[in-house]
Amino acid sequence: MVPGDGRSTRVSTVTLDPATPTRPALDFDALYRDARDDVYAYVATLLHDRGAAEDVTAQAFERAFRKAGSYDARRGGERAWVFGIARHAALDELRRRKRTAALAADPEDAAAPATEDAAERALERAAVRAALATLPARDREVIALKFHAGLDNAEIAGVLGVSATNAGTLLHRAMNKLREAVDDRA
Amino acid sequence: MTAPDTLPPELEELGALLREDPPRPDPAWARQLDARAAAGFSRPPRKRRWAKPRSLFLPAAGLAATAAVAVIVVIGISSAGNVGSNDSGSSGSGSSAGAPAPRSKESAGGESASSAGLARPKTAPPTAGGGNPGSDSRDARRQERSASMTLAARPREIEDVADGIVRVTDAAGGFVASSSVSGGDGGSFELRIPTNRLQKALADLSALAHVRDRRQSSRDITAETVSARGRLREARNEREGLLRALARATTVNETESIKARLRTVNARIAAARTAMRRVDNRARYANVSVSLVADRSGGAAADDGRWTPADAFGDALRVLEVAAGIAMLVLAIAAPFAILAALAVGAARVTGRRRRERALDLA
Repeated sequence: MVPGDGRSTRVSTVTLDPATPTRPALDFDALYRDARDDVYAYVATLLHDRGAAEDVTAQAFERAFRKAGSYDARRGGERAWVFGIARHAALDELRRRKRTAALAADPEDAAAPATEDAAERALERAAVRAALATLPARDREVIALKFHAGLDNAEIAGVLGVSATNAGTLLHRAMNKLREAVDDRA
Repeated sequence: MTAPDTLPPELEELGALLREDPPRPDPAWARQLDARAAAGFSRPPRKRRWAKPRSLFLPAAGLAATAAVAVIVVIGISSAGNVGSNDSGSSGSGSSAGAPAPRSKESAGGESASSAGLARPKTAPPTAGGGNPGSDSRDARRQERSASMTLAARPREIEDVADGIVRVTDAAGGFVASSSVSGGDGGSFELRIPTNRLQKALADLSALAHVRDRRQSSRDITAETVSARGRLREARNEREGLLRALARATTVNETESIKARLRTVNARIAAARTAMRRVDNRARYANVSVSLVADRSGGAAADDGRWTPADAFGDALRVLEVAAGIAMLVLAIAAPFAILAALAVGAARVTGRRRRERALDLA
């Protein structure tokens, strides 16, 4: 993904290490390009703090870079692996700083809505974003993993350490809460 | 049942809005992180407080464990060697190598006594019996020595070992008093070997085949020697007296009477001399009984002192036994600690996970 171009595309490139042909080695560069913005989005949603999200995202990728040799594809996808690292880093940050500062305002769309529909859509997005900020961290986390990081339920389950069924249930509950929060703010 | 990844339409609409509006990083920060990633996050890793102690601890622990293992191996091997030495020592000493035999005061240490002569150099080195050879006047005493041993050889080697027994006996200046050898089943030998060559002869015999049993004993025959000598001296004195009386005899009857007594005394002197010779032979020649038995187990290879592949195999087996024993000990010691460490690590992980999750709840 090119920085600043919005959503990233999923890359699942796995290279084989000649020394250990049975264990695919991690293509860290590809993983970084694929997951940088998604990890940031997830961490920012979870921490509610842009500065902390930047620090934690950088820390997560640095940890992933240093632990790339221990990645085992048999234990899950590389995106789930890096999101797991990011989650640990984010929770450590939460635990250390007890930071609950409000999420700094996201930059608004650079260009003004060209049409009335676009303006309406922008308002809806803002309402959802505001409603999301009111949800508990657990709900924000699962929503961010699903819709910001683009993980499927199985990958979310791997990150959270729960079953895929449980992950689907958690997501459904969180989305219902979000729906209610949006309705309450309407 | 696995929950589907799809959501109801009203929730999917929310999801679409969320997908359109994720938090986006600051482009400047993103470029900075890109540069760091391209450089491989070259920032030197922070030194952990425990990094250095652990890096020293592991080699030190390994060194200590290696040293401990080496010490235990050396102790084990040396103790095994001592056991072997004791075995050979007991088989070569006057005591029984197999069942313990009571040792009388006279026989104790008799192994080191002089062989045939009454006089014994006081500079003779002490032997396995221990103590000063002259401390109990052993140098003035006469010992009758005897030995017995059981040799085991493969059936096809019985003949060769039997020939060797005779050869060793001849070389020692002794003789075979009796022998019986039956094909590959074994045999028995009664040997007379000069006492002063007994030890070398026994060593040579032991080298012929595997020694299953070896015993030596000695018996004090000083009293018998003195008694025989006294009887001889007494008879000689009586004979001299009779000869003097015969010279002084004046009548035929007196002369005949003295001659008759002289014949009796001469017979006593001859008997005393014979007794003296017998006692002397008992002191000069040791009785050695050798039993030669066939060993079909194959474990009766002749031990001529060379280090054979069989010996190497045995040693290797012994080393493996010791190593296995050490491994068991280490395992027995380390296993509880390893279990405790594993439990501690598991508890620490669970605690850490719970703390993280609690932080999530508090956020």
